[in-house]
Formats: sequence, structure tokens, C-alpha cells
Amino acid sequence: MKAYLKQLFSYRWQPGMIAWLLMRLSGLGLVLYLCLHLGVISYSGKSPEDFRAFLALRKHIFVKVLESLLILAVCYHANNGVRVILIDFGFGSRWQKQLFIGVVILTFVLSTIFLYPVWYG
Amino acid sequence: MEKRFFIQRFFPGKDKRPYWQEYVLHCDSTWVVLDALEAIRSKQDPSLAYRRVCRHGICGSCAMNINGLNRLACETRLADLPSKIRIKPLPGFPVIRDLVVDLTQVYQNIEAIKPYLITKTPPPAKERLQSPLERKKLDGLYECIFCGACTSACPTFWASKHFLGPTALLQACRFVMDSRDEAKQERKKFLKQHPSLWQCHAILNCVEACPKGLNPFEAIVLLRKSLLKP
Repeated sequence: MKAYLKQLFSYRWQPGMIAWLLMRLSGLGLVLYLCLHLGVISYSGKSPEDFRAFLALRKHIFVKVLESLLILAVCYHANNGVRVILIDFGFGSRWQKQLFIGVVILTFVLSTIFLYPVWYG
Repeated sequence: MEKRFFIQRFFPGKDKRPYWQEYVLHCDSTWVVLDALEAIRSKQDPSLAYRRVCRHGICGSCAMNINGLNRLACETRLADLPSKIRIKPLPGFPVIRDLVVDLTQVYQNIEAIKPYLITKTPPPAKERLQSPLERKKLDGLYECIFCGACTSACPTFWASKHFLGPTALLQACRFVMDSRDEAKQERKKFLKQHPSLWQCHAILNCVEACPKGLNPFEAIVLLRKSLLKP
């Protein structure tokens, strides 16, 4: 594991490698979020009052930041998933850099649309 | 122009761990990295070890990690590099000394896919013919020089030494696509039994690293498609 990480951090990160690392990180983050989400919902949903108190937490800046990260992770994971499917089907491995740039732009555009109600809604 | 070279040195048995050694060299603008290594070895440090044979990007001996990327020293122009140049041996392989690595794993993996034409029918009087279209299918597959740059750049290979690696899989594709080969079913059976073909995560470091501009990932996709065909 130590040797693997050493190689991972010493080899120059190119778009394909950045895309793969972000895919892994966002995937792990989403799995962690799902576990937390199910756990928190099951504990805070015992009564309507509990749930309302729980929803009020969404106005907290810390939760807003976490929610923003969640939206970014979902958008990136979904968009890059499409890129990986295209490449795996044999389309665009020659243009993978351009595809990655497209994924990043699309992720920011979609995230901005979804983040607007979180911060200004 | 003056260049500062930081070269990773390691002599197993003598050194406890790899270390960086700095060399300052006045270089000609037409030089490639291999010229600089030759100058360092002849003028400054004869103990520096590296491989070189043809100097024309055909033998693949001088593959090394230059400024974080796997490249051939004989094809990498100094004029295209910054003033500080860091040179390491190919990652993912055991170091024999300094920039010389043990590529046995790559050669064993290539050997495993039987990188030669297998025929069962009696040979024709002159030669086994191919149509221009059949021959064209081998373009981008047969040019591999076995330098190991792609396999060494592959994070899947770093994680699992059982992974055949892009070099061997490109060769496997080269023979599966060859119209003259008569052992396609055996080759496909081997690839079906071996998990390597499905372990590739499309990171595409191999495509960036290949000094001949080949696309091992496209070969992997072709192999996957050929295995899925009944």
C-alpha cells in the first residue's frame, strides 16, 4: 500500500488519472453519505417535531457547505460515469482530455443550478 | 543552455534507500535527455547506470520517468523541458541500479499471451497472405517496442502484479486481430480465464505514456468486444 501510494503521488497526474481519482473519491464520499443519510433519517424521523427540527439544521452554514459538496460529488460522479461508459464502449479514448474538460464544465453548470436554492432559496 | 538534473540513484545492497543526486550541465539545444545522461556519465559521474541501445526510439531500452512522465530518454528533447529535470527509473518495477529496472514481469506477461503466430494448417508454398484490409487491422498494434512505459504508468499494474498490463494486452490484441492466426479460440479462452481484461479502469495513463503513440486502451476495448461476440 505504501509503495502504491508513493507511485500514485509521484507519477504526474494527467486528466485521465485526475478523473479516475475524483471518481473514486466522489464514489467513496457518496457511499459514506448514504450510510449517514439513512442513519440520521431513521433516528430523526421518529416524530414530525423531530423531523422539523432536523430539517431546520439545513439553514446552518456547515450543513450548506456539506450539501454543496454532496451536489458537486453527485454531479461529477454522474457526468464522469457517462464519460467512462463512452470510453469503455470505444468512443473517445483519443479525446479523453476534452471529454474530461467537458465533464468538469458540465459538473459546475449543473451544480450551480442545484446549489442556487441551497444558498439563495 | 544550462540544465539542472536531479537523478534518482539507488544501488540495492549498498544504499539503504533511493536518493536524489544533482548534476548541473551545459547542454546543447539540440540534445535529447539521453545525450545529457551520456555527458553526465562521461564527464561527471561514471557510476551512473542507465540502459541505452539504439538511440533512435526503436529498442525501448531508455524508457524512464522524466519529470513525472514515462518517456524514452532518446526521444525527449531538452529544449521541451524546464531548467530543472527530475529523472527516475520506471515506476512499478524493481530497481536493479539507478535508472535500470527489472522488466522480467513485463516479459513474462507478454510470454503468457503467446506473442507469435500460431498456425495449424500446412504452410502454403510461398507465404500466408493477407488482404490489405486484414493487414490494416494490425496498424496501431504491431508497432509496440516493449519498452514497458505503458505498463509502468498503469495504476492497476502498481496495485496488482497479476494484471497483465497494457503491453501484454496490446500484444494479445495484435494476434487476435491477425487474420493468419489460427489459435484465436485458445487465445480468447486464456483471456476469458484471466481477469486482466476487465481490471482496466480506463485511467489511460498508458495512452499518454506510449512513446510510439499507440493506444493500448483501444486494444483492450477491441479484445473485450471480440470476447463478447459469440
